[in-house]
Amino acid sequence: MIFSSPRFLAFLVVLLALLALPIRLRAKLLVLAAASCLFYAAWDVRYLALLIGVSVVDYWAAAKIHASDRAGTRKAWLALSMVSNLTLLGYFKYTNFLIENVNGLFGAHVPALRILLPAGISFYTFKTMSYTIDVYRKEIQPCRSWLDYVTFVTFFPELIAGPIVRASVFLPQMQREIGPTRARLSLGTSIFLFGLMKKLVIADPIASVVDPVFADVGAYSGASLWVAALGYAIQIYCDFSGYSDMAIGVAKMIGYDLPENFAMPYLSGDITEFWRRWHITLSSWLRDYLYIPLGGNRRGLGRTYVNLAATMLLGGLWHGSSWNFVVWGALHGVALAIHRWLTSHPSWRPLPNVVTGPFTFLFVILAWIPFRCTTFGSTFTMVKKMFTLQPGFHWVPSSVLIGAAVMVVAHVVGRHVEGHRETGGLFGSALARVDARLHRDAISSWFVELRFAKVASVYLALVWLLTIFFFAATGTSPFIYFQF
Amino acid sequence: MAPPETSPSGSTAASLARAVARWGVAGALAALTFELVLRPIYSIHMASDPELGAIVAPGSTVRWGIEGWGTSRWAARGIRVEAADPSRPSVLVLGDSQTESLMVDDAEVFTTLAERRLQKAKPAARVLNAGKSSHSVADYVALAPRYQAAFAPKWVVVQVRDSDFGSDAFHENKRHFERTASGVAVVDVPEPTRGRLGSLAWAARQRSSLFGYSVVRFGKFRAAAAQDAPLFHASQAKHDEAPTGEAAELASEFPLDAELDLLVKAWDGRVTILYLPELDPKHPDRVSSIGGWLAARCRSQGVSFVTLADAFGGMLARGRSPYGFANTHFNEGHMNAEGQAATADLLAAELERLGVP
Repeated sequence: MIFSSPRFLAFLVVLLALLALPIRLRAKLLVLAAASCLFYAAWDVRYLALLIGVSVVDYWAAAKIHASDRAGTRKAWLALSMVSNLTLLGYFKYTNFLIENVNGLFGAHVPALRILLPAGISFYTFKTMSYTIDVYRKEIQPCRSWLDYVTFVTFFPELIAGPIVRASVFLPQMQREIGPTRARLSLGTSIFLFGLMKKLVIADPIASVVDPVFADVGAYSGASLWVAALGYAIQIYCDFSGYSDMAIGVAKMIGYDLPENFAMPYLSGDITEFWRRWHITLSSWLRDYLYIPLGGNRRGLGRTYVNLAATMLLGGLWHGSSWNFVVWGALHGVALAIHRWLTSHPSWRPLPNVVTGPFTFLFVILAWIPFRCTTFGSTFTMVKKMFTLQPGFHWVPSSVLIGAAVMVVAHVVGRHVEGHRETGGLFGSALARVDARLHRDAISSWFVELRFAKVASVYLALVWLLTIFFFAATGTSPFIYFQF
Repeated sequence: MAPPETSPSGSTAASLARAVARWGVAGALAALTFELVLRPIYSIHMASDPELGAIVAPGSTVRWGIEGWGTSRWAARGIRVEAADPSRPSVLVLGDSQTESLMVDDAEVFTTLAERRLQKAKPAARVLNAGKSSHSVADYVALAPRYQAAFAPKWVVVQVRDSDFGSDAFHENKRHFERTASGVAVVDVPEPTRGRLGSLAWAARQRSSLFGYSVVRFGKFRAAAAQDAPLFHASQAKHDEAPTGEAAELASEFPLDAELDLLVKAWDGRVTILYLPELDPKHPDRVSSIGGWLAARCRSQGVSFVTLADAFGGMLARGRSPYGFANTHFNEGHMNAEGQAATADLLAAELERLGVP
């Protein structure tokens, strides 16, 4: 079930109605866990067992880690959890990649296996691994019951494509009463609609014109390829951050707070800042469970560069089983290392963001090319045609230009809001006059809460809904990050 | 004096009334806003002609921004653009939405451009655009006597595409061909009658862009929902197969020769077939076998034939596309201004060659 489909809306309404019933919290958690399982099974029922299996193993392993004082025993249980998760991830995600490379390297003819990648496996394995690691590190207490744990692991809003929620963030919230309230619905619906708008009105129309270009980069002119590259940068941001917004919004309606995942990344003045603003829950996961255990920046500059590159390479590979993702990760890893080297130099004087920001954005756009192209060949062709402005089909779709204009406005507002955190500045006070509230503290940096106490705010909400109804792409195309 | 006490039920009723009023006023304002927003994007008034069926309302202006961005003015009996001099002889152009061309302005549509080119040297025939979305060869045959009576054209141009002789002409929900022992015959399907509610909805749809476009959007959402992957078995989702539409298959399935013969006979041979190919941008020199069959058949039967295959292929080779707009897709959908201009040039040249007045 895709968040933007009518099926999901029906599912959500029924679930919220059930959670509104005057029943005990444990019963509500049971309803929520069952609904999450149904949500996951609606994609493909066969892989529900896998998800449940993962939650059983990690719940058990964490309980054993917590119960033991012997370092060896604790390590053994942690290893069991890591090996089981990584084996699953490896089998489903990388087996055919391995076969393909073995065949290519040694001229073998090992047939590819027919493996269907379970939805969200990259996300939920990272989530469960962080749980056992945190219990091992004694940073959190293990769940008291398997129901709590399975509710956490299967929590449907972020199950398929994040944000990657850690147990330390989610489990404490499970003590609170859940179910829809007026305030939760108002806030949750606003965030959900914000995400729905990003996905259906910006990302999907751009996808429909950019996908054919990436499918045949050799046919299009260099100028058209620049437009397509810009279009993809906008599409992936609106698609993924739109999904995150919808997940956060749905979770809020239920009664949980999920961490922010994006904070206007294209405003970043340098690549380090970009990774503090882009897919925040993944970058912080990689920092805490990979980069720092590798030594982080504590073992000298040389080792820091190696750690950065290794973390980003693995981060790239996490996205998918293709060398193109590795190249994308490597590009970012090298850029991070260069930035670290520059900033560690005693004579380093930072330039203003207005100068470095466009270069950072240009680098990010160019790095998206190997991420989006399916092969090295098409990546090279595209880059070459872009920089030599070769002729070909000339195609400048208006949806990319409209998307770019909306993004510029949204980022200008966001920058303005960031500078006026207390009041929201002019924009915040204008909204306050129509009884709509500006939120600046999370989720895409800013969003507008729709309230219904005045004619003006109801009008704003209706215009918002009608904009989605009339200008959204109608096909329920999956979110980009579903494939990861 | 103490204020009168309000009962809890009274205050609830008042608060409910305030909420209803608030939503009513806001709803009306939002509807008005979107009516104004949608007018330049979707504004089309249809009328019913007793002989020709549904046509664009005479004297109305259509604004179309869903695909391309066009404004068209419509005269009586479904003819696009008022004729300058009704006393002059006419060339009637029949076709589907490619001829109707709501997505380009009047000055850009190929019929206007062809007429201008014909009249460059001397006063010449008017070129009447009677294009109608969803029409097929069956319509051009069935409506021939009625068009003859209405316009008495000196010459007729019939614009066709690959699908026009196939399934489009045999669709039972509209005017269509039926096989007979001697070949094919036309079956006329009457316009559906509307009940009182249906008539009211129809009238509202003609007057309000908001309502009219809402109906279109509901249809699109419903069609998209029908394409959703099957629940619980996403891996078994079926993908659309590419249509084949090759002449060899179509020839065995449809009586192509008989259809073309009937069309030419319906207009007493005073007809030019205008063929718009759908070319693969990667292979712009490959014309479909339907195009090949049509050219060969017209040649053998001595029927005037214009194909855009070379012109469109040349455009694609130069990186331009005859179809598609900035707000749709590259080389998909309807003819853009460049495609219209190329069509006008070839059509005018053919009419000049034929010595059409």
